[in-house]
Amino acid sequence: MHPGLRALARLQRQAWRRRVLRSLRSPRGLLSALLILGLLGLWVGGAFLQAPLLDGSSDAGLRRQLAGVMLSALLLIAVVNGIAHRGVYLPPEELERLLSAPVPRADLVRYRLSRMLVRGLPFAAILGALLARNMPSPAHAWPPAALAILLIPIVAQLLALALSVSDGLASRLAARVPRGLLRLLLLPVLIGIPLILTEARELFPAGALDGDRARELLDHPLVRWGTLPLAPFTWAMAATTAAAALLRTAACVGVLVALYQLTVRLPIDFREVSIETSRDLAQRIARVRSGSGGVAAMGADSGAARRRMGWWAGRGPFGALVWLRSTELLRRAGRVVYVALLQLALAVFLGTVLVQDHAGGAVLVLALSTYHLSTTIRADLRADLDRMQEVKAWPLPASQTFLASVLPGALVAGLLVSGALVLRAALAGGVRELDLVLAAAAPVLALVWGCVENLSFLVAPVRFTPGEVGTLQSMGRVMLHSLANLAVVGLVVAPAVGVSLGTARLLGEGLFAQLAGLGAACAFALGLVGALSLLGGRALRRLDPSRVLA
Amino acid sequence: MAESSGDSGAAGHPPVLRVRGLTRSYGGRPAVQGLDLEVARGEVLGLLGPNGAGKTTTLRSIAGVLPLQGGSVEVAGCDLARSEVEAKRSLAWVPDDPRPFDALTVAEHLEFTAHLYGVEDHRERARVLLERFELAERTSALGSELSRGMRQKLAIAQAWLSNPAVVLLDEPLAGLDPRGIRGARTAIRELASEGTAVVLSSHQLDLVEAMADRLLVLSRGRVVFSGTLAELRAARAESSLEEVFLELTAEGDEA
Repeated sequence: MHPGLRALARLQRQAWRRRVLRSLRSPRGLLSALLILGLLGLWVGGAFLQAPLLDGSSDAGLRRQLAGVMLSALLLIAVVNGIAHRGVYLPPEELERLLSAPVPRADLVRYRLSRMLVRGLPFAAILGALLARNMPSPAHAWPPAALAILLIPIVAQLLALALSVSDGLASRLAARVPRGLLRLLLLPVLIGIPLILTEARELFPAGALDGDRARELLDHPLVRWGTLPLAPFTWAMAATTAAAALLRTAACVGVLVALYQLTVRLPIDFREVSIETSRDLAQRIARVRSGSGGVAAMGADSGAARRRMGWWAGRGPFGALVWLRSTELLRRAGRVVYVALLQLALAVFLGTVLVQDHAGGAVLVLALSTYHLSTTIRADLRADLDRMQEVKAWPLPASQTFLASVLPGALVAGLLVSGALVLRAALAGGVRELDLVLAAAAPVLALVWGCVENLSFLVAPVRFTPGEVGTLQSMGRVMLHSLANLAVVGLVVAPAVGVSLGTARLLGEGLFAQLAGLGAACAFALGLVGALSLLGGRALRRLDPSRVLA
Repeated sequence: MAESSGDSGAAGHPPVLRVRGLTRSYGGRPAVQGLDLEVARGEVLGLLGPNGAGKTTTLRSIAGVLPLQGGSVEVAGCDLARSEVEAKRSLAWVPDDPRPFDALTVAEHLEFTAHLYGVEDHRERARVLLERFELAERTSALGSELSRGMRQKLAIAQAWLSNPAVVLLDEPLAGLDPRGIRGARTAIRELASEGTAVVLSSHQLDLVEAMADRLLVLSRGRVVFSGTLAELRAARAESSLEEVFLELTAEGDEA
């Protein structure tokens, strides 16, 4: 690699260390970092404490197949990333300087790859150790498993470069075809969710993965052929003696080096697509940094402008703001609608298969779906961190700005959850009164949830910094926010449920009593939404954009 | 030295923007200290000062973006603290780096603004503004597809649309090409001639010199000069605004 690029990589590592240490000097930064490290430790520790997927009686072939399936899933992510990011991604501060620098293009690929590999080492070590636990000799399996994880950045970069051929023509075609194909493949899957869920229920009637059935699946010819490209790695992971492990791991290193060399030596001019990719990624990172996730982190392309939203909440200032948020949802949601539907399908699956009790399953679906969709379907004040100057200057009461921003996303999420509840009830033996009551309450719960999340965001805005200094701290704060939000939502929902049960008990039994209880609970919750909006407005007025714009 | 604690407004016209004793600090560090200013209808007030002098903080406080810590702001007779919504309805704010909505087209930004500010029959006015700011051919472009200059033009067009009593512009010409600068300058003058009070902050002294009826020079959060350009020149031996500016704000520069 060019000495200049080596020096740049070294200086950036030093700068990163320096800035991390500096951020740890403040008590708040230290606390956040400790919190996230503690939670990560718990997660990784918990994963290690769990029993391996295959018990001691499983044969080596089955273990290799399992490792192959897991690695294939990870490589699939690499393939998707490779298609999405063409050329060589360089952050904005490096792009123009490095593309114009007197260094061979192959060195730019080496520079980028080496940075990705260095960053990926801890991840590879942890994930490799987790994968190795299912192998006959975990200690021998760990190095090749970690090497297999390091395949991901190399394969992703190789694909990204291959798709740069003909000035990005291949990449443009590839970017369109797989997305279209994906939609075509996903559509029947999503439409057939009820059938899939019914089938899944029959496959796993006991609510747990059946061992024999899992073995059958792993031994299927399709799985065997599909995992064949990873055979050198799974073969090395299955070694039972030190000598065999050493020899096979050396072969894995050879494969890795060969792929690395192939990647850096591809005679492809990637400059034009790299500029495009770097710009797209920089915009995406900027959106994520501005507090956005889910729908709000998605960009809208020119085709989205054809989708128009009506002025369904009137044409006054409040209606205008509702229209704005609804339009944002409509034009950005295209790319995450499948994620939202899959989240719902997962919640329905878990609520149907894992929980035997009808009411318990319904509550599980309600809680899980609302939690996930509040993150996925969001186009509210959390996406406006960089635009707070304009938002705060709008001529309507801050509480109305708050409510109008939360309302559309919460309504969409709530209605989807209602649908999921009815679907789950139908799968679990029939729709009962309780299912209808919960389905009617779902939009109100989603509204409460959205209000609480926006309020906590305005009180202490978190600017997420992926891949940069402060990542640990911001992740810690995000987790703290989530825990606090859950606690507040619990505090808000508990009395509403109490009001509902109390009203229903006073009126006796039957549908009327349940409906009256539902009405009382919703009225109570909507009163709380009003109170939360006032508090949200107050928090919005107090928010100082100059503190969060930096 | 023509130093004063504030600004006395334009003679002969009632002020449409009145700021009294504006004070703002960040973590105990004063950013603006007891600032007074008045701007009359049809007047252009230029806000000058080195980096960190308190120009943007002043504008944000007047726009209601920052909560008032001390002092009062009155826009078209409405007190910002007591009647925030009414005051904001008479006011338009263009920040230095406007952020349009990624998912909205240029035309929809104007439509949204019209409904937000209750502008009736906005279509014709929007069409004229799109023409004036050379956005007519980009009406279907999404906010995410606009260049820095285009974003600036769109923000100015949005500000103009509601026909506000007061327009606050923070570095309004940053990012504009020469044609855009000329268009914006003409537009600002026309806006003022229609009776709108304009407060603009800029580092471009030639722009301020050419456009502002009066100047307010800030340094370290304090007003170090308030008056017309002629008054400034009369009080100083220096002939150019640049030299006067450098002398007035020398203390701020050293900080």
